[in-house]
Amino acid sequence: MKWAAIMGVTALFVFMTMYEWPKMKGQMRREKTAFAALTILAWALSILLICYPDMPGPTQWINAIFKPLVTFLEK
Amino acid sequence: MGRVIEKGKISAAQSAMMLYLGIVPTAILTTPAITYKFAKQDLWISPIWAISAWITIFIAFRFHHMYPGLNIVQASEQIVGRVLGKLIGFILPFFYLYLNGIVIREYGEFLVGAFLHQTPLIVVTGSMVLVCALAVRGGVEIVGRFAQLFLPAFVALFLFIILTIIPDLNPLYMLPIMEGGILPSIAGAGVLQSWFSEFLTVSFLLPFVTDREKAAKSTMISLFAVILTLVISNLATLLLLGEMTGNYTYPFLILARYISLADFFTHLESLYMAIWVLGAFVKICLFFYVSVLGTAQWLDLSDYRPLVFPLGFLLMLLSIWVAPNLQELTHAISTTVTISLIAVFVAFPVFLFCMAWVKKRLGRNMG
Repeated sequence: MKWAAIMGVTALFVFMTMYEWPKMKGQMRREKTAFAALTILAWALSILLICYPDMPGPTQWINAIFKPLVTFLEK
Repeated sequence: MGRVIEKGKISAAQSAMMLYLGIVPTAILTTPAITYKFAKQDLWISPIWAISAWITIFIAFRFHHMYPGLNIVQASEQIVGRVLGKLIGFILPFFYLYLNGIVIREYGEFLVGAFLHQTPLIVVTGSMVLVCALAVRGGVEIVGRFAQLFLPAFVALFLFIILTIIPDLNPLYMLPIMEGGILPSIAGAGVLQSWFSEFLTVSFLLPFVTDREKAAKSTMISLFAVILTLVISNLATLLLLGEMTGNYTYPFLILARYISLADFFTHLESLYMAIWVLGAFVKICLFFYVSVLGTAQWLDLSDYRPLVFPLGFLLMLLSIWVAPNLQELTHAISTTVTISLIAVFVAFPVFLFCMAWVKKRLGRNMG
């Protein structure tokens, strides 16, 4: 099941790249780099989330930063 | 100075409509229940304490006056220098992305919980993100026109629900007004500040507004419309449900479900859902657009469109990642999300504004 999900997500990313890449012209190097970096980031994150769905997310990070205030509001 | 990457233009009225639809849809959905916990029968007074909206609007306009044509992220680069400015330029768009993840999750949970019981959550949210991504690729002009197109339908339906429910309302539920003084209503307004602070978005729209002299007035109208809508929806919910307001996750949906006109028009919640989805679409598009634009400016790109699909995918992942289930999401909204929103959208711009003001003063004294 996990493998199917990973394959599906990867296929989606391949489609996305095939759609977007030819639209960027040769001189748009920065755009290509940004697109590639973001796509790889999203791809890695999606695989991490498929394998470890209980990974602490941004809500937990913010919780950790604002802990005293959060416990104050929880009362 | 960033390059001009958005050539679209919007009118001041369109920007006001975008702001209205960017705040109200999710606010009328859950706020009656959350506010009721703190304010009890005074929950309809709470939306009047829109302090963070006043602060964010004031700061957005002052910034735009000091640094014309720049949004708050670009202006911060001028104030605190390039390195710190880049850090701010990362935080704000990322925060919009995170916030949008929450909005999409809320949207998905609402549709799956109330209407599409059999549909997997990811199908509902995924299709919405895809549609929004296509709209965002069109630029600010398209999002503005969608807002202009959907606002009349949204308002008409809202008024229709309120007008048809009037015979069933019981004004006695309102009493006693301000039983515990003014404090409960202010406590109830605490969570509402997370919606009002979203008015900071106006800072990202101002550079594209053509008739800028009207912008302040139309933003104010938008704010008053939001306050009025929330007062009316909270009041109607309270007068229909009384002490049960706090028991429902989506009290306003119960309102729509309750309508029965001459035993002929019933189950109007499907109509409510149809229109609500349009409102949520504008909201998601607006925040999506801000995060895409902010990221493109952060990276000094000449075009933001290549970023739409990768960021849309990240948005999808964030919507799954923000909370494991609806209960924790609602809990997070009334605690963590509110605090972080006030910190990032209110306290942080205030701090920046103070720095800009001091810098301007010092610069004048030296020169």
